[in-house]
Amino acid sequence: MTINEAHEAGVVVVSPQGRIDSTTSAILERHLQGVAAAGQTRVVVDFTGVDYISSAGLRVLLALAKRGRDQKGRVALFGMNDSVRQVFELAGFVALFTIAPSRADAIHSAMA
Amino acid sequence: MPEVNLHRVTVTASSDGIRQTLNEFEQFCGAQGLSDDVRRRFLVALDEILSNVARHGSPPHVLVQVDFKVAGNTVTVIVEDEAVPFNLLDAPSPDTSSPVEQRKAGGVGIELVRTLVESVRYEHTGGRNRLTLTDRTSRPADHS
Repeated sequence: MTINEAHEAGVVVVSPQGRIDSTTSAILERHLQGVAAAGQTRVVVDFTGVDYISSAGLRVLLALAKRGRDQKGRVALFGMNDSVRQVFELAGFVALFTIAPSRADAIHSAMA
Repeated sequence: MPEVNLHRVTVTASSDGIRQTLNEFEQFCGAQGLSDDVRRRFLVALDEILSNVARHGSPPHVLVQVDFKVAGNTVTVIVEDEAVPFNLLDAPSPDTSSPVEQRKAGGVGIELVRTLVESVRYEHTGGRNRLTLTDRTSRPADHS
């Protein structure tokens, strides 16, 4: 897995590429922990390069949502394909996140 | 008689074994021309099943045999392991409604196995756990 990171208007946009499953989720987890350690609390996760996500990846995102809650930060997601969206729905994760229709909307939401 | 295409992978229940199985399944899907939708449903289910064996299976690093099969318009994946008997279909449903502070991710993976693939069957036979997953080679565009 490759993860790109961009900074825009005080928001960190994290873009994982490929699968987020039990074989890769630790990489995403470490990256997001680094973002938190740097004091960044406004985080957007860009799913446009994500093929699928399994529960190992959901676990990492739940930790991100909990940190966001504790640190009064903002988390927004965008760019999910149908498979990723379906996994979020089946897991009841849609209610835990702001899922924005575009990158600009996600950044706007994380800035608010 | 429909043409039957079969591929078998034997790995240890470990991160490397999971990665290898998922890669082999990706190649199998490419060779069989399966849709992204079907490919992703099975990849998630396989990751959940194999990582569950890797985490909880006893003895550790037990061997797992995975068969991929396409016959007619049916895809079948059979996962067999020699770990202690465990029917993951018996696991309780996860919490999918509490707010973020109380939410736990436990049980979500098994729920995904139960719901993403059309049919999942468990047997304990010949000293092995056997999960048989079947689905169609393609589904209508909307999966609601």
